[in-house]
Amino acid sequence: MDIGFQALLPAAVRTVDLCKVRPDERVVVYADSRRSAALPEAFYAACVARGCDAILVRSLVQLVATDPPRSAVAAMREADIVFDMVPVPWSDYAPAINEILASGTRVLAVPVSDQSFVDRPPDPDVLWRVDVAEELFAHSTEMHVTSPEGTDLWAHLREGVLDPGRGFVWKPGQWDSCGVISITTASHIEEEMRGTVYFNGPMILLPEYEFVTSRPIKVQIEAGRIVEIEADHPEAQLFTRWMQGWDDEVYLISHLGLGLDPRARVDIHRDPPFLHDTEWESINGAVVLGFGTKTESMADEVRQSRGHLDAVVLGATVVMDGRTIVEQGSFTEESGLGSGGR
Amino acid sequence: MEVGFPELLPAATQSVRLCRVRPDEKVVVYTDTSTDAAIPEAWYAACVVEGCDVVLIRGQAREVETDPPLPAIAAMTEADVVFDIPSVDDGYAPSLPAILASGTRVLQILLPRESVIERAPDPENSWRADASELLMKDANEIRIVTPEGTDLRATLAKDRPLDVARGYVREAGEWDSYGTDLIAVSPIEGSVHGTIVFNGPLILFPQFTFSPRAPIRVEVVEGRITEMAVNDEDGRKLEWWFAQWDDPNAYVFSHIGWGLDPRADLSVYELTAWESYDGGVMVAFGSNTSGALRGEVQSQAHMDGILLGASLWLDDLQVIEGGAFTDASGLRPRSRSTGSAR
Repeated sequence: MDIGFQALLPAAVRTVDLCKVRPDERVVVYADSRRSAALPEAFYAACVARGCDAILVRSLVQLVATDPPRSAVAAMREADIVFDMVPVPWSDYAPAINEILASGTRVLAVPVSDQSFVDRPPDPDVLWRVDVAEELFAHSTEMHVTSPEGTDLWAHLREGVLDPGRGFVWKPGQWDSCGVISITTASHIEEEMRGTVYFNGPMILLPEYEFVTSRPIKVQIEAGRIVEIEADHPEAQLFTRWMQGWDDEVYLISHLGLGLDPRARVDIHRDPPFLHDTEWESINGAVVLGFGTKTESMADEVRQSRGHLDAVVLGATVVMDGRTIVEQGSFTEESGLGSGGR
Repeated sequence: MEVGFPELLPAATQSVRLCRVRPDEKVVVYTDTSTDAAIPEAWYAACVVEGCDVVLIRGQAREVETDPPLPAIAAMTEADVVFDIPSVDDGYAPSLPAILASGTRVLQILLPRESVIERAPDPENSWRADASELLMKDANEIRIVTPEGTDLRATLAKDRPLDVARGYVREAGEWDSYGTDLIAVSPIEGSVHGTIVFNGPLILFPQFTFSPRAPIRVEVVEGRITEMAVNDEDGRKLEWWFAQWDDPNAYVFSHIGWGLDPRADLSVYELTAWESYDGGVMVAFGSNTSGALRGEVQSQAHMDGILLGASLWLDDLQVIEGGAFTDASGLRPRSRSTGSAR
């Protein structure tokens, strides 16, 4: 739905302010030809309102996780901050993102629909949850995930970079995605992870598929790698085929984390070409597993794969270092994340 | 006729083809917030039609001859070809020489919609630019005279390029302006000596563009205006225009040359047409560091004056007599009469 420039501007201004954009900073607003003009124009206007000499860069639609044209990459490398409005994400996993971030540019992806941007803008009532979760992950060494379907997964959490998703960026070289409110760990996560997972919720298999599985999909993980998929129903078979279409690295765990946004829902309205991924990865209390590509913004190390998937386990129980953090999909009081607001 | 995107697209497509843009080339269309959006969209679409993965960049409108934001410069430096569609002249912007030195070719488009169509590059007239180039490249001295009292001499430098404007760019590092059909050169600045009596259109960016009601006389000594006869309002405008820059380089001679487009009509408010007026002699002051001229005068100021009814000699060869090309020049237009094509 076209909700218009005026409705988008306040949330764009709030986001620009959270990103601490200064008038002397070099700002690029990037969009592709699939994105309607209203949201890029709202961000552009928000930057101009804050005194920035911003430029708007528009390219043709690229394949998912594919670099923009080199001229656009050059502009982004030269920028202090990029607001990336491309509907189908590239900047989370495309090769050029590492060189852009390495140049000191901070990048905020805004791959959400106009309606979703207005519905779930960065909000202090939610953002405190990321701080609490970050503290929790920083001081935990082990995560145990179970679910009524039979999930029983162990992961050793190494000390390293955490990837808290707040939906704004304020430090050089930082990347985040507007609409993703979550906590994720990726550093060396593949080294000690084992067990069984039943994916029973959203499956994000870019670029082709995005669905909520009607029956759980069972996978076996050893040493951080999917070693078996039980292809016992059509969605599990589709998942198997999708995995086979990439390289060996796509079977390796990329990241593990928890959704933190009470506003995020499973049953959101489909608004093509926008994906559900940012909202699904943010579902409060959901366990999110990613496989395949891993970027610098997520971890201490980089892994290139041609594929990346995100899968969500709903209704799970999560125990970290003996403390129950999530019980059947809801944060416990003990976690400090039990209340919806502050 | 009201000209819109559909009418502009064929002209833009012809321009892209004349520039021999290949599908594998990196193309940037640059524009600003004060430019008529249909024109950059037409060039963008034309590049897409030719199979290019083109990037459109929009900056804020700027003062004349100032640089775009740094990320835009980075994108242009990375590009193979730039279609530069600003709202005011930026052909002498400080960053342009470095962009051209990187191998990028740049075509500036600084015309209103109607002129984009009516004065598209005319391959049937391009032989005159070639012939002008042959005449000019072997000449040592240029002299211009008008009935009102102009009598100016200048020595041509052998190490400076000739700015042969055809309205398209093909070579790496080339700069041109769509709709201009002329030849110009920056002589050795200190060699320029004599009197100029402005009797035709004056282009005094960004404030004034007019034809003086009475001729305005200036004295030039060693390449610099030393005296200006200010007798009326138009003379005061000219005097004020020079003074506003508070820059001695504004008074330094920039370039000299002649127009070659029989379609150019002085009664139409269109600055590239004024510069291209067939048999008009152009003299300019201020910056001449553009990629096409490569002179030594750096300034934010640049003005052009068109002398009408002038006579011009290259050494002993009279090229123009009373505003018309001589037979000896070999530059008389074939089967066209001067004046508007309207």
